[in-house]
Amino acid sequence: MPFKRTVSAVVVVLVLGAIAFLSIRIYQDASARHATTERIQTLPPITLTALDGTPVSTNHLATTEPVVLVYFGTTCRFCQAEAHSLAAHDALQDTARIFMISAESRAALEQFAAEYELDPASGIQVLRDRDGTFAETFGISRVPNTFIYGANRRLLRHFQGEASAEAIRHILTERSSSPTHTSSQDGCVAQQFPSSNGDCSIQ
Amino acid sequence: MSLNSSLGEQLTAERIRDVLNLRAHYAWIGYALTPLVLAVKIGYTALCLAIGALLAGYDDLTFKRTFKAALVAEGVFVAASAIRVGWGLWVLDVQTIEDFSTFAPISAVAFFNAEALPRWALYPLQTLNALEFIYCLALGAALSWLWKRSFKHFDDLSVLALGSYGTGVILWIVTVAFFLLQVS
Repeated sequence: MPFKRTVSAVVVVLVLGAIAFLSIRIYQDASARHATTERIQTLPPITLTALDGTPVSTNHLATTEPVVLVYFGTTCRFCQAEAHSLAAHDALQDTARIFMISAESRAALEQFAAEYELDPASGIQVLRDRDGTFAETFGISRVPNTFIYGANRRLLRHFQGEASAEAIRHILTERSSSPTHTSSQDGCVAQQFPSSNGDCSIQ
Repeated sequence: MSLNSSLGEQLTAERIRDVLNLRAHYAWIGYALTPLVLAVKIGYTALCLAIGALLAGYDDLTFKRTFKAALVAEGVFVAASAIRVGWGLWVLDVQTIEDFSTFAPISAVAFFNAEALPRWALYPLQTLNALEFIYCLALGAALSWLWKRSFKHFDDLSVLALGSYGTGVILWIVTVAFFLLQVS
């Protein structure tokens, strides 16, 4: 029995060590998550690349009209469904500028844009997040993620998982008809749904 | 209806139907895995108890006995689940999935605004509840009866259950919280 007792004691020490280690990691990750949430309440300055190579800075966005930023993957079927929904919703395209952002290759994004009829003329522009800055700044680990910013550059809503164009338009319409929704306490309501509702891990 | 209320704000009716069909298609996997999940859970409890018993000097409290005790005491969670479902059906006004999933009146969640909590924190806070304490008492009673056919050792074995199983629960909670943080 002394051997078993020794092994049990070692197991208990390892377990307590694991609890301490995981607790520290949880605290660090939760703090980082909180910092990200605070950071994106106002549209952060990031430079992305259009498909023709032109740099597009977020500094000039959401100053006169709302902006919708959708981070996506070309092979994610929920992203494809959202792209289809956005491309078909003329009213939303008239209400806000829509940017679909991905870290994938230019060729893959060009093919995706052609397939879903996404072009700046229709109000939807596809941008490349070449160095992953957007994903890192916004703390993105899955796709799609949709960020809705008002014309004051403040975050109105963040959807994790697929969001329909009508839902996005409803947010913009609701907020624009309630101008009092601009207090310092107001900001993002991160709407989180179970993953089976529609998102994929970043590939 | 509650699923439509939860998802309707974000998805169209057609997509909600697709989501429901997808869930229905794979629902059998959940049912098939239930006995396995239960066996793992009871085995984990039994292992915690067996290790605690060894360290406390209860050398003849074998894994087999602790497994039986954990199996018997599991009835506490079965009864609690039945009460919770009944409460949700006949007492609570459940409009969305979140109304029911965040309903945990005797847990640490009750001290917070559940809607404002980050998703990764919900399960860990729900797991920290009074039911776990009752479960430890049930384990103590089951161990005492299965070991000595009396409840004379109920106090000591309940403390053993609290210490060993309690440590196991804390390890489980921090592990789940860690993984939820990574994937959410």
